[in-house]
Amino acid sequence: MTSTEFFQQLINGLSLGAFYALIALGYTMVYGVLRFINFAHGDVFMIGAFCGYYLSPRLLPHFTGGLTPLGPVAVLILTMLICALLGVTIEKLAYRPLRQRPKLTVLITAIGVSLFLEYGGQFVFGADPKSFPELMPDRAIAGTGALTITTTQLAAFIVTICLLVALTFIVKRTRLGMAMRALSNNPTAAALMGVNIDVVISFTFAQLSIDRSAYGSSPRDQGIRCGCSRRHRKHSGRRRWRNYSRRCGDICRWLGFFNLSRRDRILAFNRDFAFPSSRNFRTCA
Amino acid sequence: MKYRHIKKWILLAAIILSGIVSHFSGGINSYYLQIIIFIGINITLAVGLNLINGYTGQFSLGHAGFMAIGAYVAAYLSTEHSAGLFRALGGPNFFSITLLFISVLIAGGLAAAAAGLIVGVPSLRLKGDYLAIVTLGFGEIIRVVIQNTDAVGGPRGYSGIANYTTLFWTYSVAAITIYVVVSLIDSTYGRGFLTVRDDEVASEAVGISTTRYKVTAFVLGAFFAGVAGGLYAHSTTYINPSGFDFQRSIEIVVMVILGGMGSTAGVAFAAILLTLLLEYLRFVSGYQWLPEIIRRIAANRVIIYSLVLIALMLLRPQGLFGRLPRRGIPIGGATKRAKLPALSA
Repeated sequence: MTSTEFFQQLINGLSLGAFYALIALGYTMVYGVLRFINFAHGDVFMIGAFCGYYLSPRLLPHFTGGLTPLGPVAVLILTMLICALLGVTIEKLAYRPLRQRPKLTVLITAIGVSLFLEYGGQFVFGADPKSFPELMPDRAIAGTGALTITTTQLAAFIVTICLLVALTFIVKRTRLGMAMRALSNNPTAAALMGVNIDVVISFTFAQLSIDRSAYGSSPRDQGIRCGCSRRHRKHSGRRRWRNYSRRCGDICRWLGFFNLSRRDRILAFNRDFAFPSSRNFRTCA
Repeated sequence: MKYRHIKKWILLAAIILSGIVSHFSGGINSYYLQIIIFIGINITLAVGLNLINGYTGQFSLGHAGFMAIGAYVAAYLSTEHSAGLFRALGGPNFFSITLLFISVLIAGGLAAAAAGLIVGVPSLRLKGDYLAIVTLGFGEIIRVVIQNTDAVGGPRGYSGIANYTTLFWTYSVAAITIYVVVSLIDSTYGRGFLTVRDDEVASEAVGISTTRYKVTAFVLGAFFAGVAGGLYAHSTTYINPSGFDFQRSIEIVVMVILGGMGSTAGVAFAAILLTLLLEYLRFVSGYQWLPEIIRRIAANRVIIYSLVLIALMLLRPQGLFGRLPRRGIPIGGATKRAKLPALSA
């Protein structure tokens, strides 16, 4: 492998990795705060992609002339809002009533929600692959020598970095972020301190849905698909979504649960050993 | 002691009954017969998984993988290596086929059990949803390995399997599975599974090797899944790796959860109910008097499936037949002290 090839693959890997990081980020938000595996993660991401698909032909014509660059941003923001709404709705309808139940119950519900979104999406959007509209001109950036860096790759990378910074800011510097970290550490104590658990959890869901949709509607050069007939199952996007859904979980683990809070070991010790009474709540939450 | 003998008699009666019914099953429509056989296979799978998920409290999401191993091993042996046996026993007659079928079923089960051991020993150190993810991953690994093994057809699937599975075999295996699981749980040894589920720390403290119990449950469950896979392969005569994917595992898990974790009767009932429901939905999509939208949803059966799953978890998380665990004790999870009786004056 020549060095050019190596750096080319490195760039490709970085841009694709940026996408995955964005998904895993949302995933770790839920896992970090609520401690349960959200199987429906990849499916909300799918909804985000389809929002982008249906919104852009309707929104982009309104942005002409000097406003043209704002078009994709508008699509992105609207998609984020829709997905946030979806995330909150799912949390409210499916997960909130189960907060006090065993973790397994929530896990199974999450599988149910995932299947529902997946096949519901196939029902509503149809099973045929759709090609995603071009949100921004996709061309190689000049002046990189033998290497090819496309504008979409760059955009994906920049969007990911921006969202990462924004998320870190929210978690580390705002009141809400502090509440989230508190909740992750010890839900009972957090509630005693006057943190409204429901609001925080809803917000977490909204936020991660935002991240996901950002990925979903990022300008990409690939077509999007949702499911396929059984005949074409091998190439079906359905499997792909499911793979995404699973891959996020893997990435999250590979990162060693990089927790939002950089959790204090002593606090963790207190939680699990010194004040074991809080454990019940924890395993249920 | 008497109770134990009753169970043995019931097992014997079930096997004989399935033999009699099977003998007169020639007149049954072959579509219905196929569904009845699938019900039996699903009962075996679900009851086997219930030993892992329900009684031992270890959440496994890779049951379809073990089923795949059983199916492929049994199918491969009975297709490629039956010639020698037939030659020795004078051609494919009743006796040689019976012997062949029993041995390939057991071989499939043993192969799946071995896989269960290999998977179980490292992964059963994990708990709860970590274990679920690991078993899910192993299930996928098994499927992908089969998909890339050219000797069994790879992604094209494996065809040309003899149709040996009859009603008798299916329901005998189901009856034996139920018998083994019920007797195991009722035995002194089997109480260990329940203690592992209810409180791992306490069972370690009283000298129960929790890892050993978990692995035992896992291996046994995998064995039954392997046998069920062998039955499945010899019933459909064609198997394909994508028929043993994640969704298949979820189907079995849903049966266990719908029936109620840790209730063998409930799980068997749920296996019957769900198999019939999924088949019935095929017809619903053909009813012209129903509104278009309902027919279209019914045609996409997984939507209804997932809604049932969510509704069940919200309204009756213990399943149809299950008992609600004591509040605050998640399966395989934390501890809670029993309430002390009030002191009377």
